[in-house]
Amino acid sequence: MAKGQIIWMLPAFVAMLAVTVVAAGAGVRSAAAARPHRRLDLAAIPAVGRLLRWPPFLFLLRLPLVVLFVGVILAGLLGEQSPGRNLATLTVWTVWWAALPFLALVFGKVWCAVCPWQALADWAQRLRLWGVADRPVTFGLAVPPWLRNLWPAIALFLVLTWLELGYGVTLSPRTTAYLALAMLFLSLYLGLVFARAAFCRYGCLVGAITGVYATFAPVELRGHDRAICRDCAGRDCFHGNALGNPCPTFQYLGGMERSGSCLLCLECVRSCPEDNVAVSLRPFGAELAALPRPRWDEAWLALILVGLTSFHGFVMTPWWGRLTDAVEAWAGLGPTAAFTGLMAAAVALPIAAYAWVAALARAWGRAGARVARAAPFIQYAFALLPVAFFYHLAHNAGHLFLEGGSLVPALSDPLGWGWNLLGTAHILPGPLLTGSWLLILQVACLVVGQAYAALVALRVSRRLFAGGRPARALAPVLAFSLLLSLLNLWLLGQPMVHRTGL
Amino acid sequence: MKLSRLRCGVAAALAVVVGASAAEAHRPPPGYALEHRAEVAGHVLELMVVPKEPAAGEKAEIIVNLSEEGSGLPYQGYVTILAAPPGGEPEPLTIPVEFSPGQFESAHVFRELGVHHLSVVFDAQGAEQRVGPIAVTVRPPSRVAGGVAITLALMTAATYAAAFRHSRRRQTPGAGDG
Repeated sequence: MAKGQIIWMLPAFVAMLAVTVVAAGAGVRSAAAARPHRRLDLAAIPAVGRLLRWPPFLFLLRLPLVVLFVGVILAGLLGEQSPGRNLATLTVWTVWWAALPFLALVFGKVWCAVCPWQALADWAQRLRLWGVADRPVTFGLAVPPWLRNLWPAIALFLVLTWLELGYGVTLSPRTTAYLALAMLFLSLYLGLVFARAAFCRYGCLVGAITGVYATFAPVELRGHDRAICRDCAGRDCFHGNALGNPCPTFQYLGGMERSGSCLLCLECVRSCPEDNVAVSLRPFGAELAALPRPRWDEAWLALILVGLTSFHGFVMTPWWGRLTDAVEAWAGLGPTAAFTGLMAAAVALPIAAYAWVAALARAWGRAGARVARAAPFIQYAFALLPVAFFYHLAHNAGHLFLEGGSLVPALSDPLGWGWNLLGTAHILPGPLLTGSWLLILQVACLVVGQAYAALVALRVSRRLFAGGRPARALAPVLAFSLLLSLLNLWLLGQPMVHRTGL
Repeated sequence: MKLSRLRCGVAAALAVVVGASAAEAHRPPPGYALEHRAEVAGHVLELMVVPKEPAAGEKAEIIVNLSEEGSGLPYQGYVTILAAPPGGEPEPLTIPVEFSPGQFESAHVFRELGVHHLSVVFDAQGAEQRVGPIAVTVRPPSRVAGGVAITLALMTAATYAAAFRHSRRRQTPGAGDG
């Protein structure tokens, strides 16, 4: 390791260690029961409330993205097949895919609200651009029970990661366009067969990832007063009425505790006869810290994200080439098989190590039979989620700030045919942030992620091992999260290969 | 005249910087590149063509890494990449851009189907050194993805029509659909 790297990595690691100790220490001293956080209901502000209830509001947000989506497909299919110049690859991989975690951090599931492929599917099924559809075009079948979880989305996420890093879809505008069309097909076709937005609920990898990331977001949509929801006989948010369509993901506001399945489509805001829907601002990480009803599939998704985000970073370092060469030579594998094996290992090894850590926490916590064997595995997974999420942000900050400017000429010449529609075809802005400022931002992300990891781990330890020894149960989880953060810190210090370059 | 040539050279270099950007210091995904390694006149040359089998009429990136064999120091000098179409004579490609010391990149559209040949020329030990010809197979543009897309579109249209009839036959119209 270079001396220069140690100079900045050491204080960064000390900062991580310090926030871990401070966060855990502050949590230990504070009251055991989590206090409810204050919320600011934006829908209660008259002008904002009117805007949210205005039927064409969502349509107006979706329209520009649908236009861009169509442009991306046309550019990908018909434009020059050069990833550094084609609007499809630049928009999808350099800007959208890189910006998605930032969107989730700040606005939660807002992408789902404006998602162009779901917008097109909605318009086709409802036969209108906004307003209530009395007979949407669908067979309305129920999704089979074995598919009612996030595993279809997780499988798609793994496939996409393989395509992205193993097949090089980011280098092919045409394949990028086909991928966008495939998402549109899935969204529309599953909507035609199954009731409501089945793809959004169970199959969409983007919705699944932003769903777990949205636990950090300072935005939520909930029933304002649960008592009113319980007394509501019509449950219009769920079934829909003349003012709003039924909830596309079958959410009932009276029992809704999580943002993961909410598409922020605002149908319930319009349909609620009691005006009892709050679109609120809340503190960052409030939902994650409260951790209501963690589920198996969400825990697995969080753990897969831990492995895949670091793998994603590692693949873009010079070390990756050396490792694949070594594996190919040692195992006699072809490049694709070696990549697939290494990707599988990158997912499986952290999960195997984590399973051991969770078992150790259970043994040290001494809660005995009161704590189910699987409970620490499921619940501590959310303590590792901040490590993955904030590394994802740090890594993508590099892509966005270094490469994002390449969209400027592409917007003016979307097909790479020598046009200059906006007069910016020959303007190539330099990196928006470079050098030490970018590194400081990235390291700060990791430090914040580690602080959240410590806080969530502490909450979980208290809840699971209240009758045992929560502090001892906490120790292996904190050590593991620190180890992962250190790995991510090292990755940040490596030279990164760009998606499409500048 | 000299100024005009210089301008052309700069413009060509800029075009390549933008056009060949995907390959910047880049190890492409496994199996995605044609890789060739040669040791000539005390130098190690590594050539990559991305993608491995370019489609006719589509752009491919050509990346050359050149370093001294013993010390591993990057080559200092000019590199020329030549491409010969099937049965044709080799022609120099656009001036390669040196993205990082010893790493030269150029972009080329292989227009004809069949086997093209690449060569790399550089100066070492006081003489011109040539690596190649290196065979690059150019395949016809794939129709599979387009065929799949059309099939899925037809399937969606048929399902849409059936679902439309189904939804119109419903006895009690209502917002609820499930």
